[in-house]
Amino acid sequence: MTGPKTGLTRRDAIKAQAAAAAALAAGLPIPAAAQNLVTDANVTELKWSKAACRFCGTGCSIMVATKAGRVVATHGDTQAEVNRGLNCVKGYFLSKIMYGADRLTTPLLRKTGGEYDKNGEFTPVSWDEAFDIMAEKWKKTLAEKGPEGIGMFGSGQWTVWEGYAASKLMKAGFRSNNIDPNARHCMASAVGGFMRTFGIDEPMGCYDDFENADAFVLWGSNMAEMHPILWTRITDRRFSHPHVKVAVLSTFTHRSFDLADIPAVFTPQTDMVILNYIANYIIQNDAVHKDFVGKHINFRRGNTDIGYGLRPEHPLQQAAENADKAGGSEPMSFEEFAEFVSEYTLEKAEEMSGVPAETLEKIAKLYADPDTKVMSLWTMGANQHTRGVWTNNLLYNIHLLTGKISTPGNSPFSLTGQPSACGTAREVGTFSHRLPADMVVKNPKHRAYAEKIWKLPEGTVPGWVGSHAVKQNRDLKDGKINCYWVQVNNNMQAAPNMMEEGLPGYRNPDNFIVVSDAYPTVTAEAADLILPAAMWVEKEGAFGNAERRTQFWYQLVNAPGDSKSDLWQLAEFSKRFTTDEVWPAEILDANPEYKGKTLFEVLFANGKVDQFELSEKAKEYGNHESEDFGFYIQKGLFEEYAEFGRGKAHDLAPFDRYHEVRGLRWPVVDGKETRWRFKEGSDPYVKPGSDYEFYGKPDGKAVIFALPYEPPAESPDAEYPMWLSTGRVLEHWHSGSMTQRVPELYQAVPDALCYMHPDDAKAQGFRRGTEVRIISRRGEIRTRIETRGRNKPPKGLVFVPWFDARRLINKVTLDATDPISKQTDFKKCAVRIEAV
Amino acid sequence: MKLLRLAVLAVPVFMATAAVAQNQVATLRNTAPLDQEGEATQIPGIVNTDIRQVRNYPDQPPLIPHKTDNYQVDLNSNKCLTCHSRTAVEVSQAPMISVTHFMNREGQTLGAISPRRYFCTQCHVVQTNARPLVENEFVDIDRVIDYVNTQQSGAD
Amino acid sequence: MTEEIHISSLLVRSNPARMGAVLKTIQSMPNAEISQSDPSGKIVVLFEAETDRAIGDALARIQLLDGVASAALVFHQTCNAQDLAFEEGVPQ
Repeated sequence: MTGPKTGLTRRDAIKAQAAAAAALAAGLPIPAAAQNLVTDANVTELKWSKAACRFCGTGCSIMVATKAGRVVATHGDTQAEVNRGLNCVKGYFLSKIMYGADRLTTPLLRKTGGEYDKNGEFTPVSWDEAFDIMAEKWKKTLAEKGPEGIGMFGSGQWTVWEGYAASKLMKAGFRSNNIDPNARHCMASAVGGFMRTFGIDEPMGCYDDFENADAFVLWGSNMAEMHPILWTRITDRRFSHPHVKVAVLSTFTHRSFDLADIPAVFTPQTDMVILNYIANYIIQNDAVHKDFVGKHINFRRGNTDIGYGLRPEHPLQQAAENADKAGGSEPMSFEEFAEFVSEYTLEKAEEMSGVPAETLEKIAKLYADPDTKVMSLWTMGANQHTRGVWTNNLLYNIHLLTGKISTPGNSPFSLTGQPSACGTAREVGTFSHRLPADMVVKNPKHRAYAEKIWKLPEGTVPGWVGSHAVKQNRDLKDGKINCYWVQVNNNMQAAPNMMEEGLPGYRNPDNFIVVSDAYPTVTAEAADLILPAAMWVEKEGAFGNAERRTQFWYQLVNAPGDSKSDLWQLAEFSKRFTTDEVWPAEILDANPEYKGKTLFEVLFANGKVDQFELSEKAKEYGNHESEDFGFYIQKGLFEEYAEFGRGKAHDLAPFDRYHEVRGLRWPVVDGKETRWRFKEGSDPYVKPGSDYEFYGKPDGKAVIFALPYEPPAESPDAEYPMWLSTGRVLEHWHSGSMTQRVPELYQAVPDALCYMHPDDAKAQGFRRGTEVRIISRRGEIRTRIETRGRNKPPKGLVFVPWFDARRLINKVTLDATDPISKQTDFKKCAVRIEAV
Repeated sequence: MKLLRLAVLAVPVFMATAAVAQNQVATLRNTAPLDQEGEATQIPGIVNTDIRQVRNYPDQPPLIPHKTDNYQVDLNSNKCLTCHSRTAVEVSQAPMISVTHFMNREGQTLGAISPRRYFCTQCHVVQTNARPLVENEFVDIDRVIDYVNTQQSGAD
Repeated sequence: MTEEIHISSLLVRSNPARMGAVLKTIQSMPNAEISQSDPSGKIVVLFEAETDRAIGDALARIQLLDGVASAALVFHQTCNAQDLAFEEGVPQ
């Protein structure tokens, strides 16, 4: 035996039966251990509290049972509109994600002979020692290189106030915009698409569209595995209403095809051809909603030949004409737009995409038919794309041409990957170019607005755009960023081109890397200092899901050992710096009242964030950060943050209300949430009499963009003949760092396999289970061939999921990004496969 | 209430892996250095015993204790229901799908299985015989209740 | 590696005056575990063994103890040891 058992095993159950049988025979009372009915309510009673799921962007509400300081059960929240009592298999196992035996419980610093050493061994240290060395490194770099020399990488898994505190500490405290979230890998193209088309981020529709649409079109998305609870709503609608149609487009066949009336497997990158063909079809068949387009739409021609977001010296970048003006565009007329898309004929679309003409026509007709309410859905297929922003724009084009938007069931809907990609990464503005409520660091008015709310001197927030995710790894490798803090994500496993960029950057002797996590991940191993993090219901939190719904939960249990939330870590670290150490003399001379104060005092104990007393927190729940700092810090941060969006179409409700309800969809105006934005009657921000108003744009009009097909950065050739697409599986999320530690989820799908067409396997002499190397120009991994699995690639393409820490597929992927959004294309690169 | 402490279980990961260098902490990698690639383990087999497993808590969807290779569950048919539907269990002696599966979003019980529950594998998964990489220290509610009882009788 | 595990329970009736000594002896036997006892002299013993022979031997030994009036096998189940070990995470 390796130690005490933590679960009730079959052996226990049999022994209990044995004891009960003998006790019955003897006429003795059945012993407690063998009793199968415990009747003391005091003993059996569980405390149930609500929380938001820790995994995807759907935002299911969970009921969590605790007893004696442990989470003992979870189930789907029947009161929540999102999931109405359902969970997916990951959600049902949330109870176990905090209990992996290798939880980090103390800070660990690489040391040799008692001293910090980049090549030393991880050694337990106190929080004091951890922050001492961190502060020493940060101060040295700030003195030598200024704010450009430090960086931070966060996540759409930060709670709202954690992301807000991180952004404030970096942008206002350290005056560095080198902060980016891993949502850059995930949602940046969606953001770019919203900003370009509508001038304001996040979907206009909501999940109520699922019960109102007549057709669902999945663009590259595999919702059956990635958004299973939303998939249940589509399944419900499809089977309950026989007229409903489901179209599924992807570069390979997967589980969502099981519900497809119209299945379509297209050649990678040709989604842009199909979208332009549909726009052309709508125009050719007189299906344009002329009144809507005339009143509410502008047309623009986007710059083309914009490069691939590679390092500037890369030949593809050198050759690109508009690499430095990727986001540019100029006005055009409807007639010019019609002319532009006219080359995307059915024949051309069929030839380029490989999708049969009749299938393409069926999909086009769903959009063109004025009586069919269409919901389009997409995530990583469209976003992780070297033309991701364009693809998002093209999707909006076909909804805008037909006026199918902002009404129940008519909904272009960008799904999200992480639980708070919207609520934290996007709304709080943790991107290197953003501030809260869609404001940007480049705009002096926006910076001034932020400084006013933050009660900071003019000029505190810098105007330079910081390094984005992929650039941060390049900067680490090049020694431009020397101090780097990663919180709540596993970027060594998640970022592209690990062997050429990520790992050399972290292990660069000039750099000091800090990773905060609950578990020893691949990223933690690449770090120099690991900080143990409290996770999920070990802290009071808030997430914002894909339909603009903000959801709160309380701290339900204590974190193990010395682990602390990211919020505590950020605020506590800020105490180590005074303004004199990090702000320039001119700001302090002009504002002497800030001299000699700690960053904690100017950022957190600023009269606003600390305005709510500790006594205001819920009595029945713990709150380890507030108890340490002496004020209700989550409430203070949230209320300060909410100032940014109130009255600016991003209104949030008062803090306390979110603890009572199952989330609310912003803007929350006069206590009421908003389900469909931009439509008169359902959005209070729309001017009366305008019917629709796209108020993110100065003239209230959305933009239809003329954008062509352009080829991907790397395509298969003689040397590397196969496409590689990466992605996820239902059972694992967030790089598997939590789900791989739940035995039931691990045993369901333990390994990342190479899904391959049986004919391709046969041609190379492989069978199911053959061990192979997957090799690209950048790196290789070893795994085994799967020819019968749930994913069925066409010939010429393989699929490998990225959740498996033992098979780091991002050693193989290419760090080509969308030049506008800077989001990586994880779906397309060229590989060859060899038997080991 | 006193909190349940599992001192005996909280073996720091470094003791557990004391044999390997302490700069290889990524438990899931089984000590392979980050820049290297270990041999890929064999594809594990699917547990096919038909023996039902204890659930971690009542709300957990039961695991599937048999193979489901090539089961068709799509627009046209659902192979799982040929054994687990209400009317099939007399012949199959398989467990009937839970009563919750007949409820719609509003909690109304329908005459047949609710379409929202149609795709079984969203919640029910097979198990391979792969050995977990890390132990999980989730504590079963019965043991927590034992603990509470001990604490209460100890206090009196 | 053993193939089977036998889990059984025995009901023992003892002389209440001498039950203390009986309990002590049973406790000292390998793989035996007292589930409960009662002042009238009844004792429920759980017993785990690798063979059914071992259970028979233990039963016989208890029956011959001083102070024991009778001992009977009430429950007996055979399990696959590997299955149990696998569930409990024992290295195989």
